[in-house]
Amino acid sequence: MREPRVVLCQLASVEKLYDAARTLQAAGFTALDFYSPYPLPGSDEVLKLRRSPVPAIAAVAGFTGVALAVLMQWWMNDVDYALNVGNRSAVPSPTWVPIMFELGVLLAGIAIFLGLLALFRFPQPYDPLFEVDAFRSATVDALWLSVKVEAGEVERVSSELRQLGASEVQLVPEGA
Amino acid sequence: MTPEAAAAATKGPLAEAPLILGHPTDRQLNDELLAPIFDPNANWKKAVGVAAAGTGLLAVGVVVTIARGIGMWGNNIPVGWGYGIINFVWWIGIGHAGTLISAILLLFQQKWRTSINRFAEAMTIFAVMQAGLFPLIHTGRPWFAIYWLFPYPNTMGIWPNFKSPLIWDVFAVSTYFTISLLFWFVGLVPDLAALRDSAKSKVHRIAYGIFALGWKGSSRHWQHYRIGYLILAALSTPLVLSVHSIVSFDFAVAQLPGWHTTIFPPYFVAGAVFSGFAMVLTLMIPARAVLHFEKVVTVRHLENMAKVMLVTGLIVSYGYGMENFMAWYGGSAYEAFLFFRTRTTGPYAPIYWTLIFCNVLVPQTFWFKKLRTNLAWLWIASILVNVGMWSERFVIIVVSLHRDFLPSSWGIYAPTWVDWSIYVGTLSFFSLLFLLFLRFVPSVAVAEVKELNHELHHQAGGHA
Repeated sequence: MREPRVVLCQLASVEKLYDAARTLQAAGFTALDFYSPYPLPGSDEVLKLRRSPVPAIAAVAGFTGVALAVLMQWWMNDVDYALNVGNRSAVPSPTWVPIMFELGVLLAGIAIFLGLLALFRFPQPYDPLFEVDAFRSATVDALWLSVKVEAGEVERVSSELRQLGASEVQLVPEGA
Repeated sequence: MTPEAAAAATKGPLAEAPLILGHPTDRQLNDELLAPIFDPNANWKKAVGVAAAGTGLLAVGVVVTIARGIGMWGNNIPVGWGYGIINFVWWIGIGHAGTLISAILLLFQQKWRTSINRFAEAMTIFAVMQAGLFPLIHTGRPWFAIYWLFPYPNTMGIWPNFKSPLIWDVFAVSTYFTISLLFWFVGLVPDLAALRDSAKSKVHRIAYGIFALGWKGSSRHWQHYRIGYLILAALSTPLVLSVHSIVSFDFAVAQLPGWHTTIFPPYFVAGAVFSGFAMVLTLMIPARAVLHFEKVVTVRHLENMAKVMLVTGLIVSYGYGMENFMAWYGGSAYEAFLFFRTRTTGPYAPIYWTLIFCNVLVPQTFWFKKLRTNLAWLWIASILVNVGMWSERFVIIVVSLHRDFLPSSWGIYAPTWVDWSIYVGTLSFFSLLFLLFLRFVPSVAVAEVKELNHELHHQAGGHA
């Protein structure tokens, strides 16, 4: 069984990009992706992406931070090394609030960052796409589309993309 | 008159000035905004030399402090908190504008934030770094500060006191620094990739390629990226409000007249935003001219910042008014003495009146559009505001401490050369970091400006 190949092409406008994607999807090619210098409105719907897990990651980490802050302050200042400050209520104490908030935010923020790295499989210093010299415009000013196809279908998909107005249609070199 | 100015003039005085001048293409924006990196200014090295020499003062000050002890500073009883804490509060206040611009204005969908957010975030990070230095070295023996400040299991079997605002401060400032840094870096990744891909030399490609982490602008990535960035902004918004509130608790929970007041948290936050925007203007006005960013950092941006300074300046003035009102209405003889005698006519009265002039009177000039759009005045006013905010912290700390309840324990505080060299050193170190940032990092969020450019173009009826 041979690995699927990736066909890459450039399109002149967002409308053309979305049209090309819909045509390919109708023909059964769903492993699509767009590349653009800034986020494209509507790309999630065209690519039929599922909801991002990032909010859930942030929520779980944030509430873990809040819980850790409660446990830490209660155990350290009331159990392991009890401090009586002005005989005020020890458990629960309003003085816990600032650190509950700070630790919640800290853990949520770090989790978002690490979560994004994990979702993107970053750092990724090499990608076969980087072998395509013209593809460097994807982060500068051009819109690109990639589609995974079986080796036998490369020609057919390439010519179809050309008909849809794509330029720079090319096969990405196989994983070097 | 340029075509844009002519178009604005025909629309009448209430029409908004454009956020991006001309109709640049993505490639033009890319090349213009990244130009300072590939084609540095000839005077950059000289400026770095000056800043690095000044940073030497910081090194001298820190070494002397650690080798000889805190006795080298001017603090003494009754003024136990001198320059160390004044400068800490001043710097951390300056560090508030970045997050405000990036996070709060992002959530409110204020499009004008786009070309100044990167700049302001960098300023935040560098200012918080300076701020963090002071509490660390003011402990005298920073290597012990670890068990005083951070809860780690140590051989003495003791833990920090979590009921103290000083510990909250440690958590607040370190969280603020970490989150600001992550927010900044996440925002930078697409621009680092653009740098990698527009670089001509192999060294640039490899160096920026490492920091871009492999970003390709994939829509599957943008989906997670956008939501992640938005949540980071949503987290930073209450965070930025919490940091200076907690800093103000350091004072407000004490019984000292001048510190013991409930108005401190909001009044500190407004003051922080006030000084932070002032610092952004101080840095931005010369930088946009030197780096030729006038097309994306327009006079409208600078004017909006002046408006924010007017509002926060009014809040701060209200704070001063309310403090004085409570000192009169509260009936505490000690508080009345501090507010109506010591501050206004005491040995540090000139600093108090400087504060009133800079923080209350100077921002009133921003009512006038002529002055808001006069860059020379804006720049001078922004510096005056930061002089005023520094004076405010001096008044709060030194003036309140130097005459406490018993006249027998009054004393006078004066900073030593070590205090001065650390303070000037942090100013230089801040400038040094900023110069490095301008030289090596895209100082305007290129991807966001491109996105805004398309949105504006689209609204104007053009085709994206």
